Amino acid sequence: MLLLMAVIDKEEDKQKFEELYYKYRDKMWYSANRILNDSQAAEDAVQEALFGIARNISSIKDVDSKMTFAYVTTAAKNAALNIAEKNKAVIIDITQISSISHDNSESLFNALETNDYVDRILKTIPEKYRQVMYLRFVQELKINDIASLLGESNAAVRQQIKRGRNMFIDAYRKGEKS
Amino acid sequence: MKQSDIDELLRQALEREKDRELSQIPDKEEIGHVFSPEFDKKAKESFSRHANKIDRINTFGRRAAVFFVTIAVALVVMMTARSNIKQNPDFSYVIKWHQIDISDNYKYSGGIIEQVYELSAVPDGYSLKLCSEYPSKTIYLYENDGKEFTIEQTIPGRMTIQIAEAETEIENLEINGIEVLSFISEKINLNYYFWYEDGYPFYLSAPYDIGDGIASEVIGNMVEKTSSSTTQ
Repeated sequence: MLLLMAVIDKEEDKQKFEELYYKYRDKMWYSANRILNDSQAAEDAVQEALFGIARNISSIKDVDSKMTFAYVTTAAKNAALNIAEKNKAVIIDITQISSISHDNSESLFNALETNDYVDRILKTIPEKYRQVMYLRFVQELKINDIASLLGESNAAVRQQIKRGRNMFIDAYRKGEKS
Repeated sequence: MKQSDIDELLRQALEREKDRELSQIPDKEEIGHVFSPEFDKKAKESFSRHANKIDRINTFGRRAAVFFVTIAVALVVMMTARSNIKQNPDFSYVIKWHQIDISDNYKYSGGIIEQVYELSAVPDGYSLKLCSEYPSKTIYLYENDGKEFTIEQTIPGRMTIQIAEAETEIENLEINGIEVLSFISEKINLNYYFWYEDGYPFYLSAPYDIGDGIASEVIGNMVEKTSSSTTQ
């Protein structure tokens, strides 16, 4: 954690980071733990995510905003996914399981062009890609800012966005043809 | 449907998904997670150090910045009787507040260092870049990947610290069981620490971001340099 402060240059950013830390750390842990189902590993994910956030703290304008809440939990989820991948752990997302269990092709195609249909297509895309695409398409972050936040290379982030987007487009087009 | 329209559907779906996700995250109280002591301890240490620095900067840093000289430090050692060598003078009686000119730095009233001290162990990654021994002071300069810190030992006696800023607040710390005075020069990005070991005054200057870490490894770890000692 000492290192976290060391990567932040400006005093105002250090104060902002401290505020953010106390406001969101529990929620970050919660998001990570839903994936890892391991309290200690979830703390590790929070720590990892905080490094990325510290590196990019100057891009956060309002600590209390929904965008910031989404930003920090996305970072935590991504870190958790990385840990799960390293540990070859089974990734459990309760919300995903419940929505998939109600899935079937008939209801999918009947619901074409509805939000429900589109949302279900989205669920078929790997979680990791969805998190990165969220940062790119909704938060409109630059590729290098996403890479810095998530501790990944620009090329890897670009690739994940490209794959995720193509998967979504392909799935949607298949539905159109059916 | 055009690809740009599908992209917009994707964007909206991602946004809805995140909204759902956020709405399902309970309040802090409901989560009720107690972070492990190690996680919590590190955070608190980090933030309390940071808070101390902010306090110190707020109290004098901004004012200091407007001074032409910024913060200049003079370490003036008032020679006292040899019998004082093994005494630990009380800092609180020797602090003087002055606004001084930089040319006033490093005035000594005379005397020599009879016993030179050196670090018992060099902090990880650092190496000795310079060691200058003078009759009245010994200076060590350590370096690690462009970051440097300096330790200076001066002649024994009472230490008077002069700082180029009126009403500057110096922080009293205890590091490794030793009473230490510390302040930050925001302008030149340095932390200063003053302390006594075996009656000898020492001071350490280190970059602001590593100051406290280095201080904890240096203060209380000065040992007598012998003829067989290496320069580390």
